[in-house]
Amino acid sequence: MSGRSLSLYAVLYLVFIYAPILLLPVFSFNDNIFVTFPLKGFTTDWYAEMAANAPLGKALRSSLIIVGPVALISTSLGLMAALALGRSPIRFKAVILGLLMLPLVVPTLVLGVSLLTLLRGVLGVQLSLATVAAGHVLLCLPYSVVILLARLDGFDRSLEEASLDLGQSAFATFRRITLPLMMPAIVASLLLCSVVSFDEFLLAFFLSGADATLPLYIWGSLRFPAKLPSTLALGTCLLVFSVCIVVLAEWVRRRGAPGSTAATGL
Amino acid sequence: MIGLWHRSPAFRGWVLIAPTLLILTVMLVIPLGMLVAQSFWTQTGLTIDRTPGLQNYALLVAPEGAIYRTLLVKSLWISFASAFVVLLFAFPVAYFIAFHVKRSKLTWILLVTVPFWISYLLRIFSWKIVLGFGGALNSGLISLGLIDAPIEALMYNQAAVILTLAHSWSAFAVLPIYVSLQKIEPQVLEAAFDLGDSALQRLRRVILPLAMPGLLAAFLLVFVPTMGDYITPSLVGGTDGVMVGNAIATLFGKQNDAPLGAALAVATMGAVAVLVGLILVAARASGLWRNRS
Amino acid sequence: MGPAQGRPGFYGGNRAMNGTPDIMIEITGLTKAFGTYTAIDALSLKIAKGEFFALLGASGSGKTTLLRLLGGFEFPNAGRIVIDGKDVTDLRPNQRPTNTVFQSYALFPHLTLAENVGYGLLNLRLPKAELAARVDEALARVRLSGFGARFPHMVSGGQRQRVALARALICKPKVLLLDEPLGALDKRLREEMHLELREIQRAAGITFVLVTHDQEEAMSLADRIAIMARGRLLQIDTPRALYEAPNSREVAEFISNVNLLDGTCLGVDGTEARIAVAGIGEVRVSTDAGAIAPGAKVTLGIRPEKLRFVTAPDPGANALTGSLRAVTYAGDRSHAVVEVPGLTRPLLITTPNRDRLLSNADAVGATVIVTWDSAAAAILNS
Repeated sequence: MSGRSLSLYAVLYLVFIYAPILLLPVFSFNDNIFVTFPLKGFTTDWYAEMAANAPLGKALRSSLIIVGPVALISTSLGLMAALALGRSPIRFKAVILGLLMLPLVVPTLVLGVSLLTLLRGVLGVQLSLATVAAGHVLLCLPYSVVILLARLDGFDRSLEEASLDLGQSAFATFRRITLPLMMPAIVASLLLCSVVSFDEFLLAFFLSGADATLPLYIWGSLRFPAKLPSTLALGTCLLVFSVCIVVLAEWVRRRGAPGSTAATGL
Repeated sequence: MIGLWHRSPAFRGWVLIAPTLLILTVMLVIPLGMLVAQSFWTQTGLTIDRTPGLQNYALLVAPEGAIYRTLLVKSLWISFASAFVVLLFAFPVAYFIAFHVKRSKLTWILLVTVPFWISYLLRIFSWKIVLGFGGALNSGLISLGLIDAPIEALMYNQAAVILTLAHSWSAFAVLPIYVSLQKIEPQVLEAAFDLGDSALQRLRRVILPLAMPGLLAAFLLVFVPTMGDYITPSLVGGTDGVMVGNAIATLFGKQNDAPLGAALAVATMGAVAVLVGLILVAARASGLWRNRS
Repeated sequence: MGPAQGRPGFYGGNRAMNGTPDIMIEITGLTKAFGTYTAIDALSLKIAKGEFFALLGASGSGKTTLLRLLGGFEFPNAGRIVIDGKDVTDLRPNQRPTNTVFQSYALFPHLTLAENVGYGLLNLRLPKAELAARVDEALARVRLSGFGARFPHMVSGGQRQRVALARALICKPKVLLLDEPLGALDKRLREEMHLELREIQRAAGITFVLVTHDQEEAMSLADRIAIMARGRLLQIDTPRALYEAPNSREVAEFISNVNLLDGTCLGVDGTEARIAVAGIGEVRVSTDAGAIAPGAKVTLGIRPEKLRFVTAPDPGANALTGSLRAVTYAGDRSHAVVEVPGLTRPLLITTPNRDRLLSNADAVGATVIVTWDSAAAAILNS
């Protein structure tokens, strides 16, 4: 494989990946209610329409409401789980890790219907944003644990022992040593869980009550061609937002502690 | 208790993991267990008969259930094809970043993975825009004068689903392949040249076997989730591109036959598990994948 | 065994103690098991105040586990640990009067060297100026003045090692535990650190317990060494006693190269015993080395440097004839391998290279005569 042809291929690959997505911004500024070429003219009407849309605003707020708690709960649980799996001599670690990864492997559809049956059928719980949040925590746990466990792995265990040895209590050790060194991974986990929750559609579809999340709103608006361009405008905003978050997450994660190499060794 | 906390690292471990285990049990193990239990019941109209029996599974195997079997097989084929296409496209990119990029590896990795984090819905939808009858590709080709009338066959079929899935999941593939390529010691690659291999021979004899764990991981990471996909077939699949996920959703929803839906879901997960097992066995047996520490 | 020259708190042997020195650490009946694997087996040990004590053994001998038990990072299944009169068995690391220098140094990567060194004083809540002064003093003691603002990844391995030492010493512990602290350093740096460690220990008067697998390191640093294997103590003694009077084959072979001769005692003539060694005949051993009963089975251990090449042996002296197989030149001395008919293993002989120009190497293949004094052999129990 010559270097030149490979580079060309890689560039073409990127074009293939980005082209459809970049159409979203392109058509969101297009002065045409139909999404076709040729381009008519530049307009920001669709953005204005989007901003004025009340149900959209409500859906956005709903999504934002659950993002915070989901990220915090998933990351906290993930941190505890990572500490348990990475440091403690408990048995059945392989089984627990397998269980943790299960949400990634079981089709979300199946998770959705099973959880629906459990929550509504058996427990008689009212569907609401809270049930959506609970479902999201389940989905975010594997991501959180993987990120935190990876960071913990590259982490000398004697650091915590040294802190104890030098007179700090177990809690003070956690506060002064473990937490600061884990911070990049914690931030990355928070950001990632936020993104996952914010964009998640299928579980929200099954588990939501009266309040729709943003993806649910988008799904609904896809049925109406008239709403299409403002949906594109929304899509573009989400695109920019997600990109910024992800780049930020990666940058923070790789900063790590000064001088330490990130777990993937890139 | 406090004393035990300080003296026993194992006790600390269990306490730390207890909340997570609770959530996993309540929200994962029990619901899935219930799903399996449900698959043995029957539902007529809105009443559910809880006497356990194999009638749903019998239906799936019987001639009346042919429609579901075909659907399952078609989904297996679509997912398999998507995963294969993804691997084919992703490997050269991963190879490129691993071996031909010197300074900006991080940038390339970001470029490749960032699209993954954009809303799945929007990504599928963007393909709807591209492939549709009045969509971007058609109208673009028409305005460029390359075709006279829009091509119908672009959308609402299996090929559209495969293409869309391949696009959506490609980031999942590049990363694991890249990571396993990175792990290969550069001196091993030099040794291959030193001992007389051409670039292609080195690829076949050294790189592919060593990268096999990454390739397998990538394949499974795409194959398994796409089997249960519901959104993509709904948006771009039309009637030809229906997958088993749609059938399950319909059974639970409009058709009001949750037990059958559950049985179909269990059958799907079972089929996936069996296929994954076969692939792993085949990889071991073909000698391409040897267990290294 | 009498006290050796010049060091305080120094006494010999696990067989008989001279006088009653102050005991800093007393371990009784200590047992530690990990699942079905017993790492420490009913171990008892006393370490004196101000002593430089070494735990020497191969990997898996339990020496690191013992150190971690002393530090409070593991808790024993049975037995007690008493430090300076206080039972610390159930106390956690931050409650014990010990400090540890870890094998990987365990410097906190997100803190500067000064913050690392000052970490142990945080609980004292000293005013900033005093804390800074103490840190500077500690850094000066390990010759790292001015490095305080740097981060661990910016300094070399040897410097990091010294920071770890300073960090532990600033707490003025009663006992300093060192877990193979010099393993990662190159030979020359290690030898420099040996000197520094001895200086620091002597100046501070703190009891040091060092874990190492390097015999030379243990012998050059420690007042007494405990040889460990399979979770048990084989012998505790001064370096000299371990080298010249090991109590068993295992200890003898572990400490350094040794030539072993198995035989039976034929009889004792005054200060000498006659031993019949299989395959070569009669050999004389001085009874200073220990009492031997006639008829008893005996193993003799002779260190390579105690054997000499002669052209003709003195009458009545121990002598063997063999052929010179190989000679290795090691700068200040040469190591020779001599095959003796009747002995299963060849003899190892070390001779100083007194002559700049001539060497034994020319004689490879020739017949040589090897001799040794009757007092040169140690009597090993099994």
